[in-house]
Amino acid sequence: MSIGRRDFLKASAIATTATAFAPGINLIELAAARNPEQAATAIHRWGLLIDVNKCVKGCTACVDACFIENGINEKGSPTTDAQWIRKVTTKDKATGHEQIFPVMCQHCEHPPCVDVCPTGASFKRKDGIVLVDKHICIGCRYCMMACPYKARSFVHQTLTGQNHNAPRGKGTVESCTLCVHKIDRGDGITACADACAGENHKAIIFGDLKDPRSEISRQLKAQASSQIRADFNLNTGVRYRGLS
Amino acid sequence: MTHLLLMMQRLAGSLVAIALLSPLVIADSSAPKPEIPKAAGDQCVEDTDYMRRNHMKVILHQRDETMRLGIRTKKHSLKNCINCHATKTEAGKLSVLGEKGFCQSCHTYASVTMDCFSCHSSAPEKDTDLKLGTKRASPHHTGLAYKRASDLSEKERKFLSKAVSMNTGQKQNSKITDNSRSGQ
Repeated sequence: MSIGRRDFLKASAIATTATAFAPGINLIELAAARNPEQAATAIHRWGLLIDVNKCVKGCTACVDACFIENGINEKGSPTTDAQWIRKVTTKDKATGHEQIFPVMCQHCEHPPCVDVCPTGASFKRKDGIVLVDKHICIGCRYCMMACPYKARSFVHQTLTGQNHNAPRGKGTVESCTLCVHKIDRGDGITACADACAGENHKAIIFGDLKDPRSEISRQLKAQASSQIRADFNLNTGVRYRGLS
Repeated sequence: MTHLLLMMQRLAGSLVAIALLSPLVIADSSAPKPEIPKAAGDQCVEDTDYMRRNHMKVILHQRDETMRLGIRTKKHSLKNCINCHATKTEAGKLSVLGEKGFCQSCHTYASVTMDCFSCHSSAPEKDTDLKLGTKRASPHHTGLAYKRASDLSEKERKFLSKAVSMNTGQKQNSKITDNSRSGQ
């Protein structure tokens, strides 16, 4: 006895319904805990929301955590030392109002660094993370000039003792990877956001911009936010709240 | 005539055989073979013969998949190689490098330069629990790299933040204190 076409369709429709409405399971969460064999997909777009009003003057928790997570230890040459994230202070001269906030790679949807890269080393992953493939980076630094956010660094010295999850080496350009190794591992948070929450400042939220149920999407929907130099139309993955 | 052809064929065949065998004979008799240390595991992810010839193909394939697509399967990953093949160096550290190290011993023998480890760590992952405050030969090694920000003491925090204390940049209507480098 073989199953007829009509019966088959009926059965699969029931199965689909059962999957969609099974308690505690939703497809987006399943996709977030990505299997190591699966490639990153455009289902997600990872990003950050930085609340400028919650960022505390003098606190460098996010910067320190980033340096620790990615094994950035170069010291003594401030003009050339690697800098994946930095604290920026702006001051309105008329009112004297100061704003302090971290700036890192903005993970643009249309990244200028990718446009100018002559080798294809600068690239955007399907899930929106902008990376440098250091295997084919020739160290020309065009991307550093193209980036409006000064987000990239060039490694000038021979390095030793790199972290396992963040290979870095002389002659290549690098920048914030949005802790891609942590995302792929399913940690669901970047080192900077983790450290900020650890300090109880909660100025950095990491999440999936494409998932309307994610904390970041809900926050973005609830209150106004902006992009740095939105006039470039780069559609950055890093958004700021309270930035004037 | 056919006889002569057959003889010539045989002669050519034996010459080829000698040519093929001779390097093996020479290698066997004179040049010392590299001492390749045994791995920690029982069995490599592929046959040894296959890996001897194709390990770079395997690693390169995995490299592109991980880098570009985010596929992080363990089997053919460089980390997995290192975790299994690292041995103690003379300095007492676990590594695939060093004169008798798994990678370097053979690469030195074959006179093939490898530059994986100018960026990638040559130590197995287990070796990352480095203790804070241990003095290191390299100035890049502060030992702070493995501590959470919240666990840092005030002194360590100051030390780390030194690298980001450059002030540059001015805008017309507003003052911007940007810690970015002034130029490169």
